[in-house]
Amino acid sequence: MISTSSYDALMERREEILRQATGLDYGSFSDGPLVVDYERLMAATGYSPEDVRRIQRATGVGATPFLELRNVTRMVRSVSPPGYGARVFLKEEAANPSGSFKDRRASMSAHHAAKLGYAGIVAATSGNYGAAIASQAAMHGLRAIVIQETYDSAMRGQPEILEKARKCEALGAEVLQTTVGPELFFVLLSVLQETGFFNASLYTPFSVQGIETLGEEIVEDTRAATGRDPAVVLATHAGGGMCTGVGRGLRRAGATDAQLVAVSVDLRGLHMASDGDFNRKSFTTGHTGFSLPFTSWPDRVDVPRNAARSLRYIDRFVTVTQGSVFYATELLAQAEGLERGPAGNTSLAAALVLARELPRDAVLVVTETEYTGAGKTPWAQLSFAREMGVDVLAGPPSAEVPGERIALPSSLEQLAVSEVDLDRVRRSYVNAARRVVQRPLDARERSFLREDARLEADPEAEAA
Amino acid sequence: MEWVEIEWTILEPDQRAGTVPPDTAQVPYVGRARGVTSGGPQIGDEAEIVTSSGRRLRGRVVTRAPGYTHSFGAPLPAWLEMREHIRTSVLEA
Repeated sequence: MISTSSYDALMERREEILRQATGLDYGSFSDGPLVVDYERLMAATGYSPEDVRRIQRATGVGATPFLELRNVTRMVRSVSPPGYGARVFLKEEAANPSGSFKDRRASMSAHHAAKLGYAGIVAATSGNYGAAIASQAAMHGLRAIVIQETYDSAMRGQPEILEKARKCEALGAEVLQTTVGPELFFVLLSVLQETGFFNASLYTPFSVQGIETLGEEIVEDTRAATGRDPAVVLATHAGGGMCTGVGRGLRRAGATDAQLVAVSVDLRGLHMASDGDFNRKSFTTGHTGFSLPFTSWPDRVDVPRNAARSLRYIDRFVTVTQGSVFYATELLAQAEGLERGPAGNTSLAAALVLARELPRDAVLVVTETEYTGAGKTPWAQLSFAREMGVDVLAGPPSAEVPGERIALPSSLEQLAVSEVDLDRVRRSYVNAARRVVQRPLDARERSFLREDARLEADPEAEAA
Repeated sequence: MEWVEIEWTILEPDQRAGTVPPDTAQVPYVGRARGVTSGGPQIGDEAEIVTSSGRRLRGRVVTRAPGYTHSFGAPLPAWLEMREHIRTSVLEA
């Protein structure tokens, strides 16, 4: 246990600790609490797009297979209007060394930490990012610590999170597990202060820059396979890194007409810091508990300014139910012979719906898959949900109530997405900005908000 | 030399962040980690471990020789219904 004074003292030193742990002087990219010079922040890594590719290829990251889901496409067409049902492609990100696209994020932090002479890297994550950090640290001869929110107060852990801890430990990392709570940030600060390791936050420019290659490869792969650009690209939205990095990559590769759709698992109504709600969800990331607060105030992260600013890039935002993602997971396994982790199929669940809206010659791309194993399967997660008092029933997505009932669809036609009103998200961001600034927004702030939230009009008019 | 899991209290309930919801505010914030120790501590004993990153941590031993017990789970009736539909549509397609 630590004393209250040491807690306060550590929180007061946060800026200094984070500067030492990232090598970035965030103050130099910020102009007050709101405005950030975003492109300068992204350029502060010092790595060009070519550098990023070279660095990633050196550890086997990226250049993953690009697969056409022919059977899924055929099945989607059977429930689409005549002439509709896009070709569905998928980026096999499970082929990265640690089994998910998170290797792209971890690769740049690990490379940079090794180059600067840090002895190790630290990340606060309950997701696949931990395994990516552990894997990349091993490749670069660095030590690794993964801080993972794992248990409720009865020390029950979700099978998916327990599996990720196992994988981190298998790859040589220390895993520091905690019970539920936002104090994870305090633990991160204390570990950074004690060790002097690099803070491989999910939200630094290193992390986001590492994802840009995924967007670029999607455009190159689609052009090579079909001779055209993707019409729609679906990316899972948790903290916004994947949408931001993929969006930047799509633009760099010139796919300016591709629509980027953010997809989250709908967990609305569950409190993410609640001990009682913690184990009543079957998805630990890629859900609305992250995506809604992060889009309406991106800077709520473990570094002073968030490099993942997804409102700049996403064109549409939809949610899917937990049951729909389990459906997509089973379908991918049985129709395409690809058994992959449920959480990585969040975008695929939405693709099964959105492909119906597109003509047959259009190309729809799902940005990821993830590895699977014990704990990361529909059976493991549904069994655990039931142990936690969540009903698991057959039924359409509309029958699902987060934390109370998971509805497993019994036909492809039943699958549906829910639209998130992006204009409303943008207005929430403007309102959050007003609360932080606590005075009328000045001209620079209004101009920044127009750019950062992609507002069509001046935020003074938007908020009215 | 022995592989153990230890637990320690990071924050008591009255030290928790002001923003946590009421159910979380009532319980301590607890940490766990695994590592190597010596001297054969029993469950409940205070012990110091060396973690995989080389750090030394102290806490109460909660498990000796901890393994992994998460599994592939078991099928539920609603899953079987979904699976039957998927099998049929895959075979028809």
